[in-house]
Amino acid sequence: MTGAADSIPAVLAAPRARQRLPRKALVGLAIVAVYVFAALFADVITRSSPLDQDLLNRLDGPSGSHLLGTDALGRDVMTRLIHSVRVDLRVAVLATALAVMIGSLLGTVAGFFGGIVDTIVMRLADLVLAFPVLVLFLAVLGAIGPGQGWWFLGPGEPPVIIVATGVGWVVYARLVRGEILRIRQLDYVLAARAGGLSERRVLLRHVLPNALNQTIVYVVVDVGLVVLALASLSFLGLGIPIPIPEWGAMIADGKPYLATHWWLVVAPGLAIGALGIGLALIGDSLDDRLKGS
Amino acid sequence: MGRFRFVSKRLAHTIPLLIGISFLVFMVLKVAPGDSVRLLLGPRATEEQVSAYSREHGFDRNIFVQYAFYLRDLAHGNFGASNRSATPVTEILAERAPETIWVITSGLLFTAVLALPLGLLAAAHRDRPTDHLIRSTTLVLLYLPTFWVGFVLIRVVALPTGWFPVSGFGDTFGEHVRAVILPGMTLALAFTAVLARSIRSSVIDVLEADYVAVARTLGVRGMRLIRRHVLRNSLIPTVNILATQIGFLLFGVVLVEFTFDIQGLGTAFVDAASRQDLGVVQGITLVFALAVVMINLVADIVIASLDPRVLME
Repeated sequence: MTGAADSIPAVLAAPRARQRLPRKALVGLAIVAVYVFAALFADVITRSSPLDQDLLNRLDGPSGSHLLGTDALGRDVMTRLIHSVRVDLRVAVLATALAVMIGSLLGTVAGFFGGIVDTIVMRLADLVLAFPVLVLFLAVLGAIGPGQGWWFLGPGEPPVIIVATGVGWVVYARLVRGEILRIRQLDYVLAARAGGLSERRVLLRHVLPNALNQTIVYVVVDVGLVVLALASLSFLGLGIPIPIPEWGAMIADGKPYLATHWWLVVAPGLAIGALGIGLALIGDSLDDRLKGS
Repeated sequence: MGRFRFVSKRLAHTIPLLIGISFLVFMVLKVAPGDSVRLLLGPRATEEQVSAYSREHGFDRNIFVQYAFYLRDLAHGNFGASNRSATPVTEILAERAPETIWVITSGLLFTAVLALPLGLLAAAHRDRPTDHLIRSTTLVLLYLPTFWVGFVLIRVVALPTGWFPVSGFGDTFGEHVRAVILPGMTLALAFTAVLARSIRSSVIDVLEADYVAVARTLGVRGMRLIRRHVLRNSLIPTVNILATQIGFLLFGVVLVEFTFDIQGLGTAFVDAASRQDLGVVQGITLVFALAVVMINLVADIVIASLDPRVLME
C-alpha cells in the first residue's frame, strides 16, 4: 500500500482544500470567537446590568465579585466591558457591510460603464481621500447629535454608521473598479466572450465574482478599524452617548483615575486592540490564501 | 512637460477640490436639524434678529445663492464666528493654532526618528526575526487607540518620573518643549504604525531594482549603498504616503490634544462640536481641509523635484 501512496503525484496527495489552517488564522479566529461569544451571551455571562450603580462600592479594586473592580459610579467594569462588545461589533459590522455594498456597487458601475460615470465616481472618491473626512464627520456628528437610536440600534449608533460608511466605501469602489478593469483583459474572459456569451453575462458571472474576491480581506480588517474609529469618537464625546457602555467612552471615564486605578483605562484599550489584531490575523491569512502563497 | 507647466497643471487640479471642500463644509451647517440660523444666533436671539440675519446673509434664498454668499465671505477673509461668543474664527485660529503646530512638529520629528529607521531596518532584514518583530509591533500599534497609547505613556513615563507635564502646554519655551514631547511621541507611534510598513515595502522595491544590483556588483555595499542609492529613491514613495496620510494625522492631532489637555485647534474643534457651535466647527474644518490640500500640493512638487520622471507623465 505504501508503494501505491508514494506513487501518487504530489499535486493529488495534498489537495488545497484539505490544507490545515495556518496558525495565525487559528489565533485570529479564536480571538474573534471570544468576542462573538461575549456579544451573544452578554446577559448570561454577566451578573448585573452594565448601568447598575453601586455608590457604596465606588472605585473598588479587582476582586472575586468584580473581576476588574468598579468604576467611579460603582458600576462593574467587566460587565461594561462585555456589554460594549455588542455596541462596537454591531456598529462595525453594519458600517463595514454598508461600505462594501455601496463601494462595490459604485466600483462595479464605474468599471463597467467607464466614461462620465467612472469620472464622477472616482472624483468623488478622490474628494473623500483628499479631505480630512474624519474631521468633517466629527463636525457632522456634533451638528446632528447622537439622536435616539433607530430600530434595533441604540442612541449614537446610526450617525456613526452613516459616517463610517461615508468614509469606508471609497476603498471598495477603487478596489472593485481596478479589479474589473484588470480581469476583463484576461484570457478566460476573452474565451467566454468568444463562446458567444452576452456582455452582461460575462461581466456579472465571470468578471464580477473574481473582482469581489479581494474585498473580503478588506472587510475583515475594516471591522477592526471601525471599532477603533467608534472608540475614538466616543472618547471625544461625539460617538455613543453616556451612560451606554462603550470602550472609548470607558477610557474617557477612567482618565481622572489614571494614577490610582489604571486598569479602568488599560482594560478597554486592550479589548479594542485585541479585537483589531484578531481580525487582522484572519485578514492576513485570507490574503495569503488568495495570493496562493 | 516643463516644471512650470507641471506646477500650474497641479494647481488647476486643486481648484475643483477646493470648490468641493468649501461646499461640503458649507453643507455641515445645513445638515443640522432645526433652524440653522437660530442655531447660529443661539437661543436668546429674537425672531426679528433671526429674520434680519437671514435676509442679510441670504438664508431666505435658495441653497446655491447661500453658498455664493458663503464663498464671498471666505474671499473677504471672513471665516465665520462663534455662535456662542461671537468671537471671529480667525481670532480663535490665531490663538489656538500655535499649540497645534507645536504638537504636529513634535509628532513629525518623532515619526522621522522612528518610522524611517524601522522601515529601513525591516527591509534590510527582510523575512528575518528583526523584520518579523518590527512588523508585528507596528501591526499591534495600528490597532491600539491613539489616545490610549497616550494614557499609557502618561502612566508609565510622566507620572513615575515627573519629567513631563501630564496635561497643558506651559508658559515658557522650555515648558512648551517638555509639554509636547509625550503628545508628539503618541502621535508618532500612531503614524509609525501606518508608515513603517509602507516604507519597508518601498525600500524593498528599490533593493530589488536593477540599478541596485549593478551598484552591488560594482562593490558598493553597506551603509554607502543604503545612503547613496536606496534611501534617496525610496524617499519618493514615502513622501507620497506621508501626503496621503495627512488627514489621518490631523485626526490623530485632535485625539492627542484632547488626551493631553492641550488647548490647540483640535480641542477647540471638539469643544465646539459638542456645544454645537457650528460657526467654529465650520471654520476649523475648512482650515484643516485647506491644510491637507496645500500639503498634498507641496508634496507633489517635492516629488517632482526629487524625481524628474514625474514631469514626463
